Amino acid sequence: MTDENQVTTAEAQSALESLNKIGNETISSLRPPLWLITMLSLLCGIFTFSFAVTEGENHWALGMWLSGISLVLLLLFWMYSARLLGVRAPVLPPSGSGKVFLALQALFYAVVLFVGRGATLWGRPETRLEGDFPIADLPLAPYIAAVIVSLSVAYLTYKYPTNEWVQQDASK
Amino acid sequence: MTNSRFNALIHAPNRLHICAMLSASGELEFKLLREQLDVSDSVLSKHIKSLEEAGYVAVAKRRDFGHRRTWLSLTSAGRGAYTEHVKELRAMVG
Repeated sequence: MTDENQVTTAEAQSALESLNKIGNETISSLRPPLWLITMLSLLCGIFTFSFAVTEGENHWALGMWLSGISLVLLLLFWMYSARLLGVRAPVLPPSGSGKVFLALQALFYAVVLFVGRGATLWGRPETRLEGDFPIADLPLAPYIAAVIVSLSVAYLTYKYPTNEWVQQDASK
Repeated sequence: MTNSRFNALIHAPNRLHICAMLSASGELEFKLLREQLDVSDSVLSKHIKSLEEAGYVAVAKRRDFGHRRTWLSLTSAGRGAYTEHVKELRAMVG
């Protein structure tokens, strides 16, 4: 570098490689432990299943409430332990790309939750209309919705623990 | 190569490291950044000071769990400058 504002292509390449490495290291250091990711994804799966099959005040409604409360408590525990370690996770990501990423996730989960519940309800003989919506006959709807939510929560929490869209190596 | 999006202040290795870490998270504690960068308090303070003077980093001192802790975060100007800088580096590489 001969001037502060003069950078060669090789230097730019080196800086980008360094940034990629830092990004991966930062994500690794902010990532919650595997047991916590497993618990979060299982609770999300239980919540989704309970939400899909609940009817008024049956025992699945209790399951939905218990899994929802446990999920909130676990998230609070994660935020508390991260804060002790020197990381304050904001409720909303500060960057625009982070907010868009979070909004897309929220939309995806909402769609899976309501489609899962809708398909389950339509699959019941008393609510099914003649010739209406053949996929509603699928008895596996709540299980499929729960597995989709559970796996995507595990993947997204592992890859994007801060909800910020950070480019990462495919190998990480 | 000279242009407006390239930011010489951010491009210095330690400052680039600081901005990259802060851009991937909300707020980080001074101590955690110091450990990650493997530098002394004074070196990190100097870098933070220059970023703070440029309006790129916000420093907040708060009492948490009975300890006084210093929290650092990127301001929206800092986040914008860092994003532009990275875009420029990518454009240079092609």
